[in-house]
Amino acid sequence: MFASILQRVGQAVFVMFCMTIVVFIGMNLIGNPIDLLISPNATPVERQRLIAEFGLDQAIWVQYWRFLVGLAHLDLGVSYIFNEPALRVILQRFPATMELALMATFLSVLIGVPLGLYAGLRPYSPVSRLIMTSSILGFSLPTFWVGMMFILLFSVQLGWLPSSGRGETVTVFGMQWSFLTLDGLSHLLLPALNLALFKASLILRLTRAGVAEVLPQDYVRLAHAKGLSARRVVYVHVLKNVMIPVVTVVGLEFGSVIAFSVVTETIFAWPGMGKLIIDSINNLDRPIIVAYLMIIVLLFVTINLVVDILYTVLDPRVQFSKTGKR
Amino acid sequence: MELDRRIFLGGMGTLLIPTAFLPASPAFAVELDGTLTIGMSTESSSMDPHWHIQTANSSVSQHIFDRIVHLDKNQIEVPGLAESWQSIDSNTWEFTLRDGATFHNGDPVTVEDLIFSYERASNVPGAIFNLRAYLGDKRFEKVGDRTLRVITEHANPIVPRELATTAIISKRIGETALPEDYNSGEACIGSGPYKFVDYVPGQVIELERNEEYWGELPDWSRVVIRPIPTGGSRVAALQSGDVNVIDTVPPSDVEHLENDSEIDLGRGTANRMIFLFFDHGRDVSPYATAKDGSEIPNPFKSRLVRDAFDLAIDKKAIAARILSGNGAPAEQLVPAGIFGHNPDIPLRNADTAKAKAMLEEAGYPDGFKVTLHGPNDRFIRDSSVMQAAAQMLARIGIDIEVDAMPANIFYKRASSGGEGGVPEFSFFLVGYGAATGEVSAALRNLIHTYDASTGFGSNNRGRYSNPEIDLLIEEGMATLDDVRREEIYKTCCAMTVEDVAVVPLYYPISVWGMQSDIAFEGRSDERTLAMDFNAAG
Repeated sequence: MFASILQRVGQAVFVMFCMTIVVFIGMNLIGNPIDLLISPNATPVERQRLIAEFGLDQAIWVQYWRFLVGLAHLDLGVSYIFNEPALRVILQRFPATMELALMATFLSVLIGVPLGLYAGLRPYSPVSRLIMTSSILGFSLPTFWVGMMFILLFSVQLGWLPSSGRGETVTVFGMQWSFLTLDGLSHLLLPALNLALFKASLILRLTRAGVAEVLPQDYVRLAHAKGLSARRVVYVHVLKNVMIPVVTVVGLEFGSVIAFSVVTETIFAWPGMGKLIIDSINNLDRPIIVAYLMIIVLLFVTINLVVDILYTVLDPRVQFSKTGKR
Repeated sequence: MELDRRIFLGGMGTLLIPTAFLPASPAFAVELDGTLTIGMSTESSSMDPHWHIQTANSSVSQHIFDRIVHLDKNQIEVPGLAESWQSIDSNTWEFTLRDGATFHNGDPVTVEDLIFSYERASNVPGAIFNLRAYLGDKRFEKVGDRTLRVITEHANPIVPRELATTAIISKRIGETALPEDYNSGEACIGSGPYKFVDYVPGQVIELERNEEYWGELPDWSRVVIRPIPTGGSRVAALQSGDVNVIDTVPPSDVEHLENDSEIDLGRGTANRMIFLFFDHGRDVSPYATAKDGSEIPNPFKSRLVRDAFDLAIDKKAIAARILSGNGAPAEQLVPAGIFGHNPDIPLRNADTAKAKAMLEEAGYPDGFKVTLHGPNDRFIRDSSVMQAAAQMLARIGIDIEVDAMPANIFYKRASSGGEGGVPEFSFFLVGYGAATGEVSAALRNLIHTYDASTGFGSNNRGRYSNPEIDLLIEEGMATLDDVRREEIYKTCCAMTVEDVAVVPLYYPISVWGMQSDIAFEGRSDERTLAMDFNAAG
């Protein structure tokens, strides 16, 4: 296990390294933040001074070297837009994104697994058919449209929930969390539900397919024959085996919610990292973009590792050490 | 904006279903001395008032920090921290500070604070959109306890306006403050009508009224500013009563909000012009070719061609149909009400036949081929405006291709993407607006011949050059007498239009939405200030 973790970390570092090079070259091709942000009344001399101040007049490899030197001192640079260290800007928005992602994932599992299980166990009942048909809506309706509908229905028409923004927060571990207050939860519900809808449909369908596959298998019949209660067969023998693909998908989806829930964050004016990265790309805020992508790479690697560990818990036959794999 | 409209149109369609059987949400009345919640389209990037001087940041900072001179809703100078000012001689201005203005921590505002603020504002490391353009030519001297003398390199009639850009901070606090101290609120101490309470980036800014303010107290004891970038969500937040006021109402929502009895709209024509610029500089312009793609001499060197372009484009139609009233058709560099606007310049009606005849007279009976470049995420419906202009030009026989790109790519190419670092495009859409509220900035930076050493023509990406106008601009900029100066500027505007240096398209109209029990008169500088909103009745 330890060797496997080490290997993963090595992979992550390598991917991050490649990614920073790509970002540097890419950003250099696109343009510079000076031309985008400079005062329309600034003189050409002032423009040159600014370009020099940011070191943007240097060769790209010099700029990259400076970045690496900074990185060695754990300094990812200062945001061109926010005038704060890039890492701090990102981490400030991290709790908002994290709680949104957790809530969305929680809701999607809460909705998806039971419904999928039901649809798999009773494939021909009218309720199952209804569940399966509605799930098509779940992943075919575009997120931004559903988000607007939620706002129009629950906020504008009914007035039950706030239309956008993040609610009251409390400070825990030095970070601002909103899911611990009632006001915060009421703000969190709509965006989380909006994000969960697609994932719930996906999990639902995966669970149902898995159940349909596992049910006719020998060990399930044996379990029944042994006289185990139906409840125990379903929850232990069936569900546990169905969970492996579901866990993979939940893990990946969790990562993508954290990294790329831009649409939902924008519509609900949720102050998370997804919105930050889009704004930063539009403003060519290189320190933020680089730092953000590095964090995301690290995050995905970590999630994949956790998923792999979960596999071994769910199914002892699965092994990820070298000897087992090849 | 494109996305916003679709979201909302799609949304409104289905809204009809629930509306039929659901009760409308209750209205949330605002009260005098209560809280005003504002939904803003752009988030403020820092609480440091000398950081990027973009509209969102300036809006927020003006609540907390005073200026030496304030600009009212029509961008006319009114007393700020200075109760009076006058020019002593051509290069010297004197400002007399008012008594009784104090910072939020109780310290009185002194001449030293002013001088310190101007120095700091020119020297914030990393501030790209900084105030050097307005402060660079000035020296500051204390001549008495309440008197500040400003000495300029050359005669400068708009010193009060230029100083109105710069927030005044406390020297005692500012000297030791780090950039992050402004965001935490520790150093965010001004003398303005509101005090800092809380700032969570991208989430909320909270302010409370400064009861000791020297000026008129605003109606709201507490102000909450929330960024809501999506147009549809902003409108929904207003309709659901989550916010009391929003800025930048999307064009597609203007009509249905006008029919909503609980919502009022406020408008202000912005001191900003969106226009088409020609390549005047090069003898051969890369994107202007014969119809078969072969090289031709730059057609935009001909005034007749430029005039034909101007005449072919129906600005009224663009303002009415594409912008749905979020823009007013433009005929010159600045809208009415701005110093230097020339009321004698007419807004011409488009005339395709005449434009075609002009093009023929200029030696292009069959037209030519040109690419229209522009940003697609900078101005209201910018790519649609370009498409419309292109269709109108196609009617006079111009083979025109539209190339709209994200602003982050466009501006670099437009400024220095061509061979040898010159502006790249032949014909392109850009905008210009200046914080000083006079036409002089537009004349100086857009119309005056480009000169890297003096800074004239810094935004002249078309490299327009007319020595006659140059001389007049320079004369105007050194004329302290307001009446005389205005005459000179009016002449400059007339000459610019006569020579068709640019094709003015429209002045954006800022549209605010607010609950109907709030009164508001609109502003021309696109800022959203709680002080401008009043509790009605």
